[in-house]
Amino acid sequence: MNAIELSGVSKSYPEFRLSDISLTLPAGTIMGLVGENGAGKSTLFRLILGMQTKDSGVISVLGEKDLRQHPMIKNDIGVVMDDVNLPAFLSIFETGKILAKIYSNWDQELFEQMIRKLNIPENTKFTELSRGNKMKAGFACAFAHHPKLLLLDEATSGLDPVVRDDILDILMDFTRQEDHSVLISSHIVSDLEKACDYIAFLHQGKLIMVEEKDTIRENFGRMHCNAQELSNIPHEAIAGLRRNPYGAEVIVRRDMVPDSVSLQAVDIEELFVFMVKGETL
Amino acid sequence: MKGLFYKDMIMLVRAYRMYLLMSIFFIILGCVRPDNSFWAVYGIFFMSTLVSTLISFDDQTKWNSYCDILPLKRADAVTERYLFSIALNCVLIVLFVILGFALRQLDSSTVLISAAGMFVFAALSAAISMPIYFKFGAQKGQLVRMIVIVAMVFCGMMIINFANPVMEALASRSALLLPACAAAVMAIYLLSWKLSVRICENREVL
Repeated sequence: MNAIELSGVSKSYPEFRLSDISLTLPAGTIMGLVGENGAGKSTLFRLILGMQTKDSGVISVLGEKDLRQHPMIKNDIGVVMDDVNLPAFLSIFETGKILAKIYSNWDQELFEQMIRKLNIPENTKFTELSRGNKMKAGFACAFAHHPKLLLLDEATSGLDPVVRDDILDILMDFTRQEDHSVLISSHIVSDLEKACDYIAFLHQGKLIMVEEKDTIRENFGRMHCNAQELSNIPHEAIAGLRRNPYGAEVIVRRDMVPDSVSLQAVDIEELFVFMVKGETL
Repeated sequence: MKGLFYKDMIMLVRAYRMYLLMSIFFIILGCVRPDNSFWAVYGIFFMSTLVSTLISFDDQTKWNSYCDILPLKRADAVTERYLFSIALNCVLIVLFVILGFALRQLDSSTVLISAAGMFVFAALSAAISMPIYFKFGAQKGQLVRMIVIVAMVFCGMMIINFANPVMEALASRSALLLPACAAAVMAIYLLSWKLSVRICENREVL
């Protein structure tokens, strides 16, 4: 069973539209969602969780199509949004006692282990924690009920590199079980490159690419060329280009250019920036 | 719902115990002398302020958004609020009745009629203002609640000052009227709950 299936999902607002989003998160994988500010990443997460109503399309999460009517499935979903809104005047331990009465598979021992591992101040009120510690608290709460699916929306922002590395290790351990999956959005593309199996690019409410991470590296390459060489490249081979006084910097599909053309490796961040900001022929 | 009750109880004790103490103080004050019974209404007033403060605080801290990621129906969160509100007020009313009979400063009919009045006051002000809280937020809900309280106090004073024969006639039939009143108020409370559930289920979290 796929962890998440989105088919033709759309949602409109007065000044923004999430259009026809279709993607599948296979079980046992980590998918990274890359997008600029305002691309619709958080909206997509809220639609998946049933916090907002879609205008059209089908969303299935762990086999369940209507999370509002069947919220018990959220016992198997761990969520960390970009804003962690735990009870403000309570410490992480007190919050754990509340969540233990809500989640059916809450593991207090695991919760305490996560608090120690992530160095979360135990008796400080949530409102007095730093942003990074608030995010860590959100992680501890998300992991402590043995979820099968993790939804992390900008959850690593505000964390120092050491803690981000710890979190990524935890995520990779998490997906070792074949029914565990993660959908994570982040601006820190290097984190996604490290941990993810699939990468999805979201731009202005549209999904412009969903590929296996390794396939992206194999399928795309970067070249510098002059105007003459640029005119010889098939239009459909070009994923993005930037002109400069000497010619252009182009990202192309490797299988659509001759083998004789020398291509350099391209990373995911570069590819996304070129696809979004790049010029057209 | 257990977890939500537990959360509100901790918040009550941790952050808002002054409201609780003030409510209990006014309840006791309302029992110590016959002409003090009106003070008991302030106890209920403080308690209803506390519930609205909890809702307002949850709004500000976006706890309601966090609830959407928990394995809870939105209806459960609404139901917990209504039950918590009525439970707190019932605790105060029971305290008033016990003290009223124990201290023997008030006659039994005054105690029972006052208790019924407190119940009506608490339930009606919550029933009218809660859907406003859920639909328009805490600020507008507070405003509506204050208007409802002022209106009810005004009506109460008008009845006491100008409708004594009516009051005496009602008092003589209190054994029949009190349960009927309580049932009518509970029906309004239930309708309010239904409306709040509908409002919350259709709400979009941004």
